[in-house]
Amino acid sequence: MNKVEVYFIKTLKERAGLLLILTLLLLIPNFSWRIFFIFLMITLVLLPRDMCNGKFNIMMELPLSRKDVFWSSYVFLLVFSIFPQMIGYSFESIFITPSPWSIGYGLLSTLTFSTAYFGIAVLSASFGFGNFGVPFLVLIADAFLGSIRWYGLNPYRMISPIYQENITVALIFALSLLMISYFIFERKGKIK
Amino acid sequence: MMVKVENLKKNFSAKRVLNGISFEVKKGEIFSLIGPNGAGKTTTLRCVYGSLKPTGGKIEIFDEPFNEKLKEKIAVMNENRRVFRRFTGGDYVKIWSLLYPQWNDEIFSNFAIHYKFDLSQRVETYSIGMKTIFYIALTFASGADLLILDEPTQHLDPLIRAEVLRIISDYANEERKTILISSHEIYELEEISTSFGIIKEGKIIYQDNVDDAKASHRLISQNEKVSQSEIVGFVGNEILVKTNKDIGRYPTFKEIVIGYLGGKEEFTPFK
Repeated sequence: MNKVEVYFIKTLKERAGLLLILTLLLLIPNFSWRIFFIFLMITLVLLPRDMCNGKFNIMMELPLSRKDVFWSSYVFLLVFSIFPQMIGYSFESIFITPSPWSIGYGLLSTLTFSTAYFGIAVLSASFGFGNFGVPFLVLIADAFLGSIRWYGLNPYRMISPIYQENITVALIFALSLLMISYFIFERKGKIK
Repeated sequence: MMVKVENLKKNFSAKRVLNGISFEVKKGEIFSLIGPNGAGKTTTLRCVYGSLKPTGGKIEIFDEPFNEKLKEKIAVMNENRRVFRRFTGGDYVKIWSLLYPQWNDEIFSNFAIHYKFDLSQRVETYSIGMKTIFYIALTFASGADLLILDEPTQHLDPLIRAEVLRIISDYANEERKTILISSHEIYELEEISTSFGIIKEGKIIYQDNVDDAKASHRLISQNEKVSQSEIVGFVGNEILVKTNKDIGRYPTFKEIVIGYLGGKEEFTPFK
């Protein structure tokens, strides 16, 4: 538990300003905006950024393992992406009463997107492609590929972290990306 | 054995940086890794404490293969004194005390009072010398069994430098802690090291106990005849040889290091 706490202290201290702004913006009850702000949090606040600016090396000098850092960063992401959304729902419930189904679906969508893009950004940083540029291109490509329809069909939309046409398949795809990124991160780490 | 490194190799992309490093450090020793800039000292240390994954070879810490659980017994001071942004001295003390089960607040407070640390000040704004002292305080207060100090006296003024060297030496002798140092400050290392390894171009070219190294080498003049001796290299106008014969004169620690690092080729830019 101490190791997760240390990661939280480190991230909250180092990125307090940006994190506060992003947390406030994540209260906006709109999925498109929300995923964009989560994307910014992943690429500008969390592990992928640490891997590219040398802070990961400082963490490795402490009694922290790659596993500790990876999962602490992921837990941090879930806490800071899902809690603001829940607060947003409680504000929303003043005006309309959302169904438990829609709340659950909304949280699952956030979890799916966060998981997939955390994996993508860690993969990009692990292979030395940076924490922002390549993941941003993937985000654009994801949005573009998911928007194409051939005779009303587009199988990619099912797994797309943005469109999530089939939430179960999209979540499995996202978890696969997360696990692949974890194993590559464990093996490779940051080679700088 | 506290640290055992065998045939350690490390590549960065296609470039080989460590080319079969091997050395051993016993409990309570101060082992110095000596070599010029770019020889691979820091890379070796980073492999030992798990910041870098070796390309090949074996690392054993406390008689078991390196694993990340052992890191609670290892405290590290990095070469560039990199620190987390916006962290105050107090924040550092908090995270180190959370991560090191043997953390000793009293030792840290003694350093803090003696060197007048302002724990409410951001560490990134400390002078480089103060950062060095601060890191030394953290590593000594950690209670770790193995301290890895990369260039521990760099950026310190002569008075504090002497004090830090004495503290390092006392710590190893009195607390029976093992210290692994990387440095190119040869004079200082002689004062505190019990053993050393000379690293050149990613390889340890010589490893020994300081006293044994002095006893088993001689410096002879260039026209002196030698037999049954191994010529190591030039030291100014003299030649360093490894021998047990009573010839020439005993070298200093610095001369041994220069002899090994310089080798048998003289650099003559004006010829």
